[in-house]
Amino acid sequence: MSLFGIQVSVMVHVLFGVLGIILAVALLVYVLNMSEKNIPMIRSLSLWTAVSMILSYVIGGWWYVVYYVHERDIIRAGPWKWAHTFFMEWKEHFFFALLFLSILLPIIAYRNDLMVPENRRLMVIVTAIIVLIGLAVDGSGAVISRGVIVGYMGRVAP
Amino acid sequence: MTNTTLDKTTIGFGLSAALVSILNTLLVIFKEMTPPFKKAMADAMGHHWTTHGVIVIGLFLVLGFVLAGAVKPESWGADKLGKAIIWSVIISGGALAAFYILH
Repeated sequence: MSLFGIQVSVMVHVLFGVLGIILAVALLVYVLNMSEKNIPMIRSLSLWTAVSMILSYVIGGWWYVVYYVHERDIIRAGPWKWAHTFFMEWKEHFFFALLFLSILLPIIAYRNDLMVPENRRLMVIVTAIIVLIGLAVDGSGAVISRGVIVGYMGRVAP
Repeated sequence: MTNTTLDKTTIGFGLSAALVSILNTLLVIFKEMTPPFKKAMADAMGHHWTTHGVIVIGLFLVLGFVLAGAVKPESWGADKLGKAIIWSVIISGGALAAFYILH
């Protein structure tokens, strides 16, 4: 794949991750304003949040396995090696919790009576955790990107 | 008083998410502390993280269906399941962060 294609693929991974967070925030707003009228939108948002997170995982996972090794070497040789040894390692593994909860979201939405307050609370908890983990892994991704830049800066301007 | 308003699939996959998040962290710690095991994971599917993903996602799905069939709905209300998920995320995420800070 061309350099352009590699960079676009990682941006598409981020795009779906951010889209998943935005959809989860919208879902949270709807669940906090629960009514019979909002239930179809809640179910639809829960499904699209899961789809978005799964696509982010598949595209990001493919990029990570095939292309990240080159960026990893640059980060590890530079002054911000912790961008890989902490942030990437934590992100690549903790993302699985986000993936599981994203898959759980439509199961809760489609298979339960959301007018029951306890069920609504469960939906709020799972959605809020998805938003928080999503922001944490997104922020980690930003640190990793800066780690690459700092690694290159060390090479051209010691 | 236990609330019985959740369906069994939700309980099964909710518990599976909580349990496998913890197992995911334990698998990370074990593979990082055992280089031959990490190498075997890498050899199995080309990259240790690919094998890791197949194991934990497979476990999440299998455990989800098994628990959905086995669980008694009256034992797991939505609030109790919510608390289990919160604690699982705090413990698994915190332990993972602590491990990579110390490792």
